[in-house]
Amino acid sequence: MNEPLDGPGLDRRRFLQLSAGSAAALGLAATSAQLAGCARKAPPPAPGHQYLTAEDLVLFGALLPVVNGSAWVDSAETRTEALRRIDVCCIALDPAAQAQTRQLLELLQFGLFRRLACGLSRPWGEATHEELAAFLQRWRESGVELFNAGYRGLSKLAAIGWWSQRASWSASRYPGPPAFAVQTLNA
Amino acid sequence: MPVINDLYRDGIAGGWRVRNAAELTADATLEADVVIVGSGAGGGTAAEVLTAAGLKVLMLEEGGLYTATDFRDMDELRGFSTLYQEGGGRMTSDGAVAIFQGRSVGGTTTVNWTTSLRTPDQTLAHWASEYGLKDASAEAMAPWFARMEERLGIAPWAAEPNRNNALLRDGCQALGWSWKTIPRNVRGCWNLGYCGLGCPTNAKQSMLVTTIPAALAAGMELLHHARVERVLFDARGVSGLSVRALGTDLRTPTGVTLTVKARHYVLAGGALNTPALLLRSQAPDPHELVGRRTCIHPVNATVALFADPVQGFHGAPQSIYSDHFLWPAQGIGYKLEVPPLQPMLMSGLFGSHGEQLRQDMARMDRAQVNIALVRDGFVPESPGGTVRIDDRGQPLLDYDFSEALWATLRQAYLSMAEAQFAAGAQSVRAAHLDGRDYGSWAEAKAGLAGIAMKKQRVTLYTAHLMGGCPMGEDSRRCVVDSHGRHHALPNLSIFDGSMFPTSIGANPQLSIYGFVARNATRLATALKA
Repeated sequence: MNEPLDGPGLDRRRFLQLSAGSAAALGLAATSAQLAGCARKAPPPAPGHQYLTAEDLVLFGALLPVVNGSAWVDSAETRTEALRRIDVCCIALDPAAQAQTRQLLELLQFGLFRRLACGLSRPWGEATHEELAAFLQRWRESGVELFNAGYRGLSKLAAIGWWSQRASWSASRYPGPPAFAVQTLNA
Repeated sequence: MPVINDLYRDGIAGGWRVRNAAELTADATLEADVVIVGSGAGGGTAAEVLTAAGLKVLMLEEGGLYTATDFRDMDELRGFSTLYQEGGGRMTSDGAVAIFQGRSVGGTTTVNWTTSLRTPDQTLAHWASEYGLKDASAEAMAPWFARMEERLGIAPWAAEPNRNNALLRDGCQALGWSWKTIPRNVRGCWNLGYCGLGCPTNAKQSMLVTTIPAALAAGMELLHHARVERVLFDARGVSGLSVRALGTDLRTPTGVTLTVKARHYVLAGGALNTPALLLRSQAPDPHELVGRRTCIHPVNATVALFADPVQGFHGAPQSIYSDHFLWPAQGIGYKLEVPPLQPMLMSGLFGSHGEQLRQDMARMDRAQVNIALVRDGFVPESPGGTVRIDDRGQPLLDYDFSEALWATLRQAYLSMAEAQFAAGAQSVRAAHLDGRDYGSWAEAKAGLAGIAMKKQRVTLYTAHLMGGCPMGEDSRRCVVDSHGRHHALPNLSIFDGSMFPTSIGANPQLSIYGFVARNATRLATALKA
């Protein structure tokens, strides 16, 4: 997959062509997704968020413990804060990158794509930890550049959601900024 | 009473003319002798030179104004989301290379890691011979670099390097490779390690705390939250700028439009935004040069684990470098440095997830990271990338990797790993989706020889954007002349990283300072004549 892509990296059509690669069934999925994609209007941001929709919140909520492993401390507070931080990262992107990310997130909500390209038979909020881990591994190991890009994008956002939080510091043995400086500067 | 004074609060109280365009309620026309678009290394340097010459200067900055007061938390997400282009999430158009570029008053100088190296002599010679760049020999440039070194307190770091840097030094030393101490633009540095999130002590001599305050004290006006939408033209050249005020979110236009009129226009928005502005303005470009040959010093990395703590999250982030592989007899060279190792940045570097990421992060305090910066743009096999614009006129960077570039990046993995084992690493891993912890140099050598060099699998970064509006006498190959003035538009100058004909082979800030000090001084003389 060294050929340059014309247009955004996570372009919907490219994704679908690639996921359609070998199986006729995937071709059907691609066609259906495109039809559905045309018909579907992206839902508005979830309350309290600028970019992430309610569906996105479920998706990232499911991915947070899987991407961050047992370092993740699951509480309403860390979860809310992680999702807020992911939202901050997405809304800061330029319009083109926001649109690319939205295309990926929309595709992930499309049932046939989720089943055939992600290997998930159940919706994001119902998939088990093992199933979600297998999805990440599948996209990570894929020989298809766009699935690798999707893996990197999703895992990076979920990792930032956690590892930028102070609550994660003990898991990375990060002491935070030097205490003397924090005290002196904030005196 | 805070221990670090807020230069801007004090300055504004004392009469500095600093305005937030988000607060403007009506369209207006602004006039100046010179308008500068952008406030980074190029814009900041030009501002001081031009105001000192007695010219009335207006500086426009798309980002916000943040000062040391805002940087006291030393928090990664706050730093990236407020001080970087696209909140730190900017990437090449295909997502293969992460781009770190500043976006606030001070531009990238507000967030860079302080490495201040002169343009290498070989690079200056290449620009002279290949692009007809005049008056820019090492001898001709030396006084300009010296002047900016003096202005910005640039001197080799005198304290002991942090261990992340010291291990690069030790590895090079053990292998007989050359290495040097990095000169940094700091005065009274506390050695904290948070340069990338905005210096909380005003020690880093960025444009934010040096040239821009000097220019404001000399009467310059600074307007932030102001995005230049278009450059306007008439028969004589540039006739004005159309500027959109951005709201407090720094993204959404408020609807207020400003028109800016000046005798002379300086573009200094950096090597992505300046070409994009010219492209969306449909500026004259008969040879289709604008945005072409954009170089990025592609960066790859290796992560080593040591038995004892490295704690690369604290201490001056960059203090040691090696140019041992920068100028090979054959092929493309690369420079070796290290990055700061704070957790949010590190979580992306490992390229892992789940229990592997948990384990990687749990050992982060024992990790040492080398980075290689590839000297792109010097040979036909490395033509750089292309800046184009999307349907809203925003920049997109297409960047492809030739076999020669991939071979160089593979060689860089090998050099970095070899240095880490020579420094005593227990294991080394390439920052790569197929990266695994090699337990010995022999194992690493064998493994890295076969690792797949392709986009998305290789973890790639850039913090250095160069080219797209190259300077030189040949107007068929260069957008601006040897002193930064546009070949076709006499009242337009380009004073930022986009002026370089190739990559530099060194971290860009001092090259920008030196060339802009020279070019702005000449411009000031011409405008005062």
